[in-house]
Amino acid sequence: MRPDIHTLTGAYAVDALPADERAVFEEHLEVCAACRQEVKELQATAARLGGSLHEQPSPELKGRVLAAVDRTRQEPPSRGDRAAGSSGNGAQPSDDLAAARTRRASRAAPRWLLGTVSAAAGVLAIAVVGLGFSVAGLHERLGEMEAAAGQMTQVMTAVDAETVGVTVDGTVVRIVMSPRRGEAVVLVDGMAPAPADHEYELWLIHDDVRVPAGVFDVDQRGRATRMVTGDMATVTAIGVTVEPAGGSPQPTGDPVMLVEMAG
Amino acid sequence: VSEQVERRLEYQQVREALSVLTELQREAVELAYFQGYTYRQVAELLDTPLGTIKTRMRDGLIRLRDAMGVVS
Repeated sequence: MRPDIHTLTGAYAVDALPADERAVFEEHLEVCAACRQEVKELQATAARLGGSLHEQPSPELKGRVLAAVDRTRQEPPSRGDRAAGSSGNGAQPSDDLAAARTRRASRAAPRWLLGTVSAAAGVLAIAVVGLGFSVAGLHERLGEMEAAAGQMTQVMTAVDAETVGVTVDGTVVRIVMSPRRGEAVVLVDGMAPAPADHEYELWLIHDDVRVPAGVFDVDQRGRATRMVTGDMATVTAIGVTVEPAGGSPQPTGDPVMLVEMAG
Repeated sequence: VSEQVERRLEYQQVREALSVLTELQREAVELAYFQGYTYRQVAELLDTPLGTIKTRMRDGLIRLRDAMGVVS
């Protein structure tokens, strides 16, 4: 018999011994009057706590417990095992214990449930985070669109705004530019999507100099709208090439669309 | 059953009773009694030696017993 077996009274009183140790301890109870008395008192103490189902562990403790549960992947509790450990023992402590166990079974969250709840909470947390993220993203996107629409409106309504355009095989590229603002709006319609792993790239062409002005792809309706900034006073043409995704510093092929400035 | 109910403390009283425990004792008792963990699992959860957990549970319950004036 281990020398410290007397200290198990507390764990026994709150039914916190594994089945094997409980059996050993109950044998000890048969021969140790001091432990029997102490167990009786501690069980009575624990019983008075019975109405405190509402007592919640501190959030900090709960967090640690749930984290530990997640880590350890508890097995479902084997009620059968635990009950078997005390059957056939007519001693008073065991009867109290069985009653306590029944009471507790009805109120304490079993470990497997705790694990399930914790897993569900995790999923929920991810869902909430995901939702928050997409809502925030949507707001951001709307904000961007509003800002872009405002910017485009300003370009299109600028006093020096000029419009040029070209149509090739049903693909329309229209450009509204304001040299004073140094901005242009490129409107694309009826364009086929860029080939896989490729994007369209805009070029501000100043005679022989080609300045990259951003990449784009069209939506399902073949449309795209892009703001371009640069020296619109000296630009002679705006071109579109097909480039590897991400764009190129210099065009790698001939323009698929080329809009030449009037005059 | 009614006797049992009468013997039980109200929520507020239980909170008060538990307040006589040290934080570590309360933690151990709560995990075992309210959450249904074995003392070995509590030891694992709290990364604390088995003997320490056993002692905390016993000392905690003894302190509660004395605070509640439980006489068996």
